[in-house]
Amino acid sequence: MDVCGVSNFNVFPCVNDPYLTQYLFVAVFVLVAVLFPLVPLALVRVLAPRKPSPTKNATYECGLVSKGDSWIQFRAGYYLYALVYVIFAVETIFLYPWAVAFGGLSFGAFVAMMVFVLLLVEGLVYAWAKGALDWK
Amino acid sequence: MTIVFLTLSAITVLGALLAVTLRNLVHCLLALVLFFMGIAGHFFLLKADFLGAVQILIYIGAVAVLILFAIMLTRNISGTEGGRGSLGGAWWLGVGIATTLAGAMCVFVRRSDLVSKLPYGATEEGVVKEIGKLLVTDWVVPLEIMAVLLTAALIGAVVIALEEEKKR
Amino acid sequence: MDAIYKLIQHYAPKIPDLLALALAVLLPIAIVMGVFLTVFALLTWVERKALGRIQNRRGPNRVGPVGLFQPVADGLKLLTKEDIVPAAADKVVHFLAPVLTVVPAFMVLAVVPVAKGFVPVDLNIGVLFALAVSTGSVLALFMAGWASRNKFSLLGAMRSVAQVVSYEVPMVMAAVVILMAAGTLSSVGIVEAQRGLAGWFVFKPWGLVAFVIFQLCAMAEVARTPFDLPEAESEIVAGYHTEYSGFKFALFQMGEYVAAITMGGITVTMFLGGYLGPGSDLPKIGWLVSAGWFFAKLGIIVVINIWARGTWPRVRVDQLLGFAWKLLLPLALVNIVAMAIWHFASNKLVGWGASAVVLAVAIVALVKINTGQTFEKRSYRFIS
Repeated sequence: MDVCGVSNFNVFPCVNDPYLTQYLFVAVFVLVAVLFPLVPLALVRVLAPRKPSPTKNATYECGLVSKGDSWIQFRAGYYLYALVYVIFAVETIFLYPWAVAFGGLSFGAFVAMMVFVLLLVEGLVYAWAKGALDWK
Repeated sequence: MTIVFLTLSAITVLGALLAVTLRNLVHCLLALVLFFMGIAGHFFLLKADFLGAVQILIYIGAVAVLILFAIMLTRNISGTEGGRGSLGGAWWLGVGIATTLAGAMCVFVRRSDLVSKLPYGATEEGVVKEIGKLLVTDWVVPLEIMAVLLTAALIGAVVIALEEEKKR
Repeated sequence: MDAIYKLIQHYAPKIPDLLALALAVLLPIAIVMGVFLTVFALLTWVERKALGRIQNRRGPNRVGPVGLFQPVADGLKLLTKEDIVPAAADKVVHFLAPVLTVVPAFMVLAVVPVAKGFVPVDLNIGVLFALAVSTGSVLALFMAGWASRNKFSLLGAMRSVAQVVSYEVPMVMAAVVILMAAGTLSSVGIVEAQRGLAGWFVFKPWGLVAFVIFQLCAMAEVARTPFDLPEAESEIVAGYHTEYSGFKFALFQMGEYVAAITMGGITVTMFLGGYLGPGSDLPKIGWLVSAGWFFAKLGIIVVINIWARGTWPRVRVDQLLGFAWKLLLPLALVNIVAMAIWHFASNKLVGWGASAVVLAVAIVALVKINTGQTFEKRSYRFIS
């Protein structure tokens, strides 16, 4: 196991790699971002009154008593949007590197990517024509 | 680095284990997301930052949502109906298959010389640019096949979902 | 970070190394989080004041001068409020959800360059990182709605997931043209690519269209009016945070507002030239001027947000989803082509005109297609 020795100038002493330093910093950022909301929540434990009662802890439904379980089955309509979304998200990961490299690419390379996009647009048009994108 | 690697691995394995053992489907999903995050962390650690971000965007942002909607389509989300947990009776079979697959993968990864063949390392110019260039030059045919595949998936999904809608 | 570490070593050599290290890492985080939290507190006040003006009332005016300390009062009040967890709720997930709502909002901050030479971390994949991380909020919202085990909450959560997912697509597609122009994913690189007279991407036809798409999507992503269906008061109470009270509720508000601000920061970075502006390159005070420019531009975005909230009615679900899939997404794709025309044109002026024409035609056509549908005449049945 590496031993962290505070000897060099890097911020994370055992990492000499600027790349990893960056991501370790991001990791610290995540930790801080997670801890940040936890502190006031801990404070709330101390400061806030705690007087639970059956009525207070009941499910809120504008005063009516809740009937049946709320973990119910949902319509397939939502599922379809998620599916189309996944397809287009995957398309994005191909588009992004291409877009970054775009400045140095030839016209042919552009056409190649447009073919890729058009094929997916075809799917979109199909879904559109079939009414899969309509909210019913 | 070892410490970071071990922590990440622990998170990943924990997420995977919870995902298969918890009874409540939504809890399983959340455990799966934890697992995805662990994998993303591993990608970042391996200097594949683009892949790491893609892992977050696709798996946590999209696939998890897809699974979520799929879960919301089912009944018995809380796993209280029916006797068995999500592991089921034949769990040993699953473990066997998983171990075999993992073993095979280890063997082939160790044997292959892919790593040495890689044309691009973590260059200063950026891996992303390199990927973009290669996508539309050397790998243009796979790219278009990919597009066809995705389109087929999209159309297929629409067809199936519309059939389902009609039935209900 | 290294710079801070060196500074600390230089000015206070007696500080133990480990402490200096911790400071060097935590200071930038503390600075950005502190600054953006202040902006958040101010924003709640500005928003309530501005909405008050729009609705012909005064807004908060009791606490401090012109009600300026209202956010502090709100915070203190919410801290001392009882934290009610419904008996039916899934306790663990119910607790985790508000915490996780805040995290993605803050994580985006990690890559936003707020001043010249000041960005917490200049990742190679900066913008992609921001877009990827911000999707994480979807799950937190769903967790909140689902764990409450309340019908309103779950409905709100499902709505919000469908909405965020739908608007994510045109958003990332709109960003593609910026990458094509800048040739990098790094947020600092994108800002630097916008140097020069009228160099901001928003001043190009494709940039303007992308900016509008991106801004609308950003508003929809953080569920601000007119896209606030997940918390449509008149339909489903408060949506996914119906069952939250006290500081957990505050965390949801904070997550939403900070996300709105940070997405605004990304918008400024990508389209409005980030920290660039006259005087941002001055040798000594450049960082201050550039920070001023950044926050001034952020202010414009914030004002757009508030103005939209005060003046537009909430859209319907079918309109909401149709708008994303049938108008914004195709437009974003056409925009890529327009950008390519601009890029490949022999003459810059020709490219400018051609891409503008293509976009105008596309917009007109798409609007025509989308508004072509007519609704059946409303029929009423009377039950005697």
